Amino acid sequence: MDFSKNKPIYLQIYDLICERILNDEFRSGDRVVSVRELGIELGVNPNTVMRSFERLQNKGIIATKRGIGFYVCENAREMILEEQKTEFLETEVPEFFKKMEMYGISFEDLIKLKDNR
Amino acid sequence: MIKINNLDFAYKNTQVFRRISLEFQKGNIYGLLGENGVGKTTLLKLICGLQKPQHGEVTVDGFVPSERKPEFLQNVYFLPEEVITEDTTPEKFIKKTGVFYPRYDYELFNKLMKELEVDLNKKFNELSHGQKKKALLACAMSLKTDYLFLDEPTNGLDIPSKALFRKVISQYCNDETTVIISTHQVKDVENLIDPIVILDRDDVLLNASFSQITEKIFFEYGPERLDNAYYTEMLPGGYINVMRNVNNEESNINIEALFNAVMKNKETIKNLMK
Amino acid sequence: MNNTLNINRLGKVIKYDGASFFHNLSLTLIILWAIPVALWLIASLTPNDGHMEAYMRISMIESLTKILLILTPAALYKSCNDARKGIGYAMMPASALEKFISMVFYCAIAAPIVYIAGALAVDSILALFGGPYEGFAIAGYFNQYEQIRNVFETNMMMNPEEFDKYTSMMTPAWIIFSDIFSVLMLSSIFMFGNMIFKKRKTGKMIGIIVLLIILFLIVFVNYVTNHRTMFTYMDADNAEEIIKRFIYIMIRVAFVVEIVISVVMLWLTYFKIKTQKY
Repeated sequence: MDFSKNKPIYLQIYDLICERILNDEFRSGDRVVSVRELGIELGVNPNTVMRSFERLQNKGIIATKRGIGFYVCENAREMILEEQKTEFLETEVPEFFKKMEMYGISFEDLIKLKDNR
Repeated sequence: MIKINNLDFAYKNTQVFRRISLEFQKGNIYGLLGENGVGKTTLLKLICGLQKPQHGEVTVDGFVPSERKPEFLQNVYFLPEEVITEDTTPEKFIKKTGVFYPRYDYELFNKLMKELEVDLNKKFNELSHGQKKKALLACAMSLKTDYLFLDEPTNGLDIPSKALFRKVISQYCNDETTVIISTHQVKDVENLIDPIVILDRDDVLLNASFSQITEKIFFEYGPERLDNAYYTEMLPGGYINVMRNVNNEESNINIEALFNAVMKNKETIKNLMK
Repeated sequence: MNNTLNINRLGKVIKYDGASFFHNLSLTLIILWAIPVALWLIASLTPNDGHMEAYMRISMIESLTKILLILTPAALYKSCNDARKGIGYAMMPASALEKFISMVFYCAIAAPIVYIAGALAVDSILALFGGPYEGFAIAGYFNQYEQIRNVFETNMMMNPEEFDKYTSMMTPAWIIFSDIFSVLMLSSIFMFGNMIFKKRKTGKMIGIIVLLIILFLIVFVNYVTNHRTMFTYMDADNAEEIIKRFIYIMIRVAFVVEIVISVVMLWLTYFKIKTQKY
């Protein structure tokens, strides 16, 4: 995996797991790959991976069970989508508006574009 | 835990450390950085007991390293930078060495040698520099000591081996281990080392984890050079500005830029991180 | 955990050091074994039918053993005080005492035993061929003094009763005991030399010994010339008596000196292993 340079690694690993959950690689109730395994796979400090997992746990996307380790929570998918939607609305949409303004694109243009698809 | 308290050390007439104090906590992979000749290797030698402090204390889990007690030594392995060419095969070497280490794992040695693609029946002096280095790494890891000190471990490794090295070290680490990697090839160990220790001539400039660093320092990747930055460097597609984290934002550490920023603002950053 | 001496761990050190014993010493051993063979060949090929008596061969083997004792420490433990190559030795999880015992075992016990056993075997085989070597060399060991006595006697240098008086202490037990200490002394001197010098270890140690001997002789000669009065009563009649008494004392002094030097050198070697910095 290639890490991008402007986001902390632990957040990038967080995103990676969310992506794997959305791709159904890990389904709800499934055991998630262990911190160790993921650290080895990525060649990353296990403590960094642990930090990603802690964040996932705090967000309620994964939880621990004795003897199993981390597993995917029931409504993980919805929560991830909800979080990504918020992020989309909060960061990408304002950026998008800024660019529309810059290039002089109106909402009508956008609707036309959508209808033509 | 490794505790260094008020350490003074000098070779004949060159002072290396002057009253330095620092700690290494277990469960971490430390990156030991510093320019050539600041004493990275000497610090590792002091922790291993190969050298003795002139003043101050070094203790490792309560042991005084320079006493070189077997109980201490069997839990420590130091892989020096210079590859020593034992006139024997890695296989024979690990078999006679492993018996001293309580957690020595021959299967792991075999597995690592396979993963690193080293011929275990060739003598060390018949192997290429990179192969020797890999063979010695496999030996070091299969001893499974809690303390593992690697001096410039990626020197001489090819690109696939470097990636493999990171995986192997990540695998090595657990809650009880303390790995210290001394290097100036920061790129090779990026994402692997955390915390970072930066040494300077007779001083320690930084000893902080990534989260402690990002709390105080912000790495801005943008289109322009910022004047108030500690350090600015051109990267492909823009600039990286190392600055004070005033807005409490999280950013991704670029170790090279951090190192340069620290070297340019020694006292400022030392005080900032206090 | 016993951090000073643990038999199990000592066994591991001995095994570790032993792994390279023959590898590092084979060439030296072979050369030193070949010398008696070469002499035998030369003696066989030359026309005069000179015999080499057992006691002469045993003293040759003894001399060659001494050469081996001088060469062994550097051959086996050359890198153990090297700033780079010695790190592995220093970090080996065993105590300084265990490493020291193993070193003494290989340099002062295993190496000479292996050499002497081999040399006696070679000598016995050569003796079976007949020719210049007659009888087994080992037979000459305990009667070396008897042989010397015969030489003295036949050359009228000293009458046999007197010779016996001065060598009365040289019983077989004493011979073995004094040989053990001369082995230990020589070996310990060069073990210590191996620990203190980084390069040309053996050569430097030999140089130091030669210097010390020269220094001793200078002091001794000086003393004798300055205290000439002490020796003035020495005339033709009692000179022999004085020399004999001197030999009598020297044999005993040498024995004590051997023991003292061995102990000091061994202790210094141990201390160096324990405190060597890298």
